[in-house]
Amino acid sequence: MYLSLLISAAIAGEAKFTFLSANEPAPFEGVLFDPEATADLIVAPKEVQLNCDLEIEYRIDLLQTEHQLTIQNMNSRYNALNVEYQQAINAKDLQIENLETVISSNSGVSKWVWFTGGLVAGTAASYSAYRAFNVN
Amino acid sequence: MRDSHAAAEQAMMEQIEGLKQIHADEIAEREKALQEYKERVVEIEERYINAQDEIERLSQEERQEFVKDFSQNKQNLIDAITQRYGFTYVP
Repeated sequence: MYLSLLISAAIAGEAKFTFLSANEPAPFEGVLFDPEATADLIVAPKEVQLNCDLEIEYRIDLLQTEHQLTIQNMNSRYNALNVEYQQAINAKDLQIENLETVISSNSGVSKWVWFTGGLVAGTAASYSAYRAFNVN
Repeated sequence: MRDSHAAAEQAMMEQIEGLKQIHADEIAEREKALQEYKERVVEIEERYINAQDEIERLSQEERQEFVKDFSQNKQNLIDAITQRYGFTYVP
């Protein structure tokens, strides 16, 4: 990162540096940076740190937002399924109630039919027996 | 029996209508969530770009200060370099 900053600054023609030999213009050999290059070197660590923190915050915010969307979608699905389930249960209850009504009304008719049938059959059997055994 | 069948059919139709409504509500809710997500992403990106610009601006200002220090306040430069890199200054 420092290097890229220096390179970009150098390309822009702002920052410069050179090598010095011992006792040439300095007390020991080394590298001479001009004011712009020196300023870049001093500022670079802080700038890199700030950019890094910003990048992390940005990525976390994006991920949080994405996860928030996923959670909201899951909640929507869950609520819809819950309502569907409740509705299905209500419909089934209603259906059961209807069927019970039908069964009870049918069984009522059947009782009377059986009763009447039995009465008629009993009378007919009694009458037939009377006719059969009372020939004389 | 016929009444029962009609009632069951009616109940089924109502159930189907109910399901359609539930699905429509769910889709609307998802659309809303997606819209909110998109708005939030735009907001995050804007904030990110602004913060980048702000860092760049502050760094540039700081650079200019240090460039000025070469002629006006060498001690500040010396302090900054020794503090950041731990180098020893040799006059």
